[in-house]
Amino acid sequence: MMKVDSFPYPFKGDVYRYSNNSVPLEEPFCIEITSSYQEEIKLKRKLLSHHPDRCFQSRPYSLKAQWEITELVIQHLTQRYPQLFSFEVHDGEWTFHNHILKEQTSFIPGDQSTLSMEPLDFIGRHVQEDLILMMERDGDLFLDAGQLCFPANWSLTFNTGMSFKEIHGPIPGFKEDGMDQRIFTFLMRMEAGDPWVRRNWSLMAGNRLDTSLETYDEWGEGRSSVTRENVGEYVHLRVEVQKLFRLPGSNGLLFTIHTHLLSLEEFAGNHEWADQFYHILLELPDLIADYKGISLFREVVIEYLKEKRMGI
Amino acid sequence: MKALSQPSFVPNKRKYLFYGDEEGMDRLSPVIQKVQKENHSYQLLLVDEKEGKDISHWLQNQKMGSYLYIAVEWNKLKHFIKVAEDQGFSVDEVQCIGHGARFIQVFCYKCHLKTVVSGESIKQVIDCPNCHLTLSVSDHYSPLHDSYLGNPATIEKGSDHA
Repeated sequence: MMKVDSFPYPFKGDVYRYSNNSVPLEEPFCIEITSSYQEEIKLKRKLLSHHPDRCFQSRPYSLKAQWEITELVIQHLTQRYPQLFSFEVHDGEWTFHNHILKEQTSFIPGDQSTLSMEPLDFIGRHVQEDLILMMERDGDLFLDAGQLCFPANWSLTFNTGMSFKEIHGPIPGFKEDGMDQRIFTFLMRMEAGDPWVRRNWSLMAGNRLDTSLETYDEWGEGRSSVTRENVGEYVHLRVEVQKLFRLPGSNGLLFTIHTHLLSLEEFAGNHEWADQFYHILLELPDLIADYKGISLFREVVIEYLKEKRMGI
Repeated sequence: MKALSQPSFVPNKRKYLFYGDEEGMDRLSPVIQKVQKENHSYQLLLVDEKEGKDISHWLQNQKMGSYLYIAVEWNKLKHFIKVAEDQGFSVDEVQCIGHGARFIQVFCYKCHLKTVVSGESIKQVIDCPNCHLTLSVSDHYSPLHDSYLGNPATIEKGSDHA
């Protein structure tokens, strides 16, 4: 269960709008291990085993960049958590040790025949983050590979191969005020060695990490089951910590997405958070609330936060 | 390459190429007239229904900076787009205009089956013949799947990954 003191609070100010809210990443690691590591890795691997096409997609020409991501993630894991992960190199062969899971894997970087699966799929099974690769060509960015087990209501299968602007086309107001071009320009200007991070949020009924579009019929109806009685326990704030890295070898972009869930009850235990979020929800335009899928229970949440922010 | 119903003039091109059937040329006529009036370099090629002319050679011989308009029936557009791409034309160098009956594919959010339906189905609902769920046909288009996304009909709005 997520601890309140380590929850990535996503808000700045009392008003929320879609924006390029990326900031420089201070600790330049693309991954983070939390106390729910084993539980989430078990769930990830189960989803990948039962729904491989839903959770992993790649274009044939993405392999070089996938290897580059694999090496980057291994370096970050072993540098940041040397007691938990290690690797050694002998005659060009890498042996990666995951001491938490007591697993070791040997392979030759770049040699696909030495791994039983694609490199991004392999390394994604050792981290809590979802991993998305955007490759740059013809002056555009394309989603060319991804391992995605915990999506916020989107389909990796459908979105694979799309350009940045095609992916984000359905977001209300994203195109009209030039937001898509501004963020696209920012991404294209990103340089290797200067990673960025942003936090994205939504509210959800329930505490599922796997809210893929494909499973909407399993969790979507929960939105109409929120009541004054269950709102604190049932509704969760969902925050994605998205880290962005330019890959120097392939010139692609790596997005790592770490999803955190915290019940509204725990969240509202911090009265400052409750007060700020209350004002944000009160002011939030209907279009954004609709798109985030919170319209059905927004009023109940507002009433709940109204009381909690006063310490009631 | 995205297909449209009506053409628009794109200025400052080295040469304008118009390829279409009779109905397509009618659609292109405002642009053709503008090109003629402004004395731009251009070339017209009418689709030859009987001979089914291969336009690869014609396209191959054009110089960089040429801008191509293709105006044919919707169900033939895909073929000609592929020919243009194979001859090195980029997305920004081609405008595709469709006419007549249009069919699109709808990608089921649940089972990923692609169903062919009338082009009028966007913003309407259809049933997936495989999983029998009701799909709300969005205008979210995937070039790779050549399909529009069929969302859950009960969904409030789209995904939230921004």
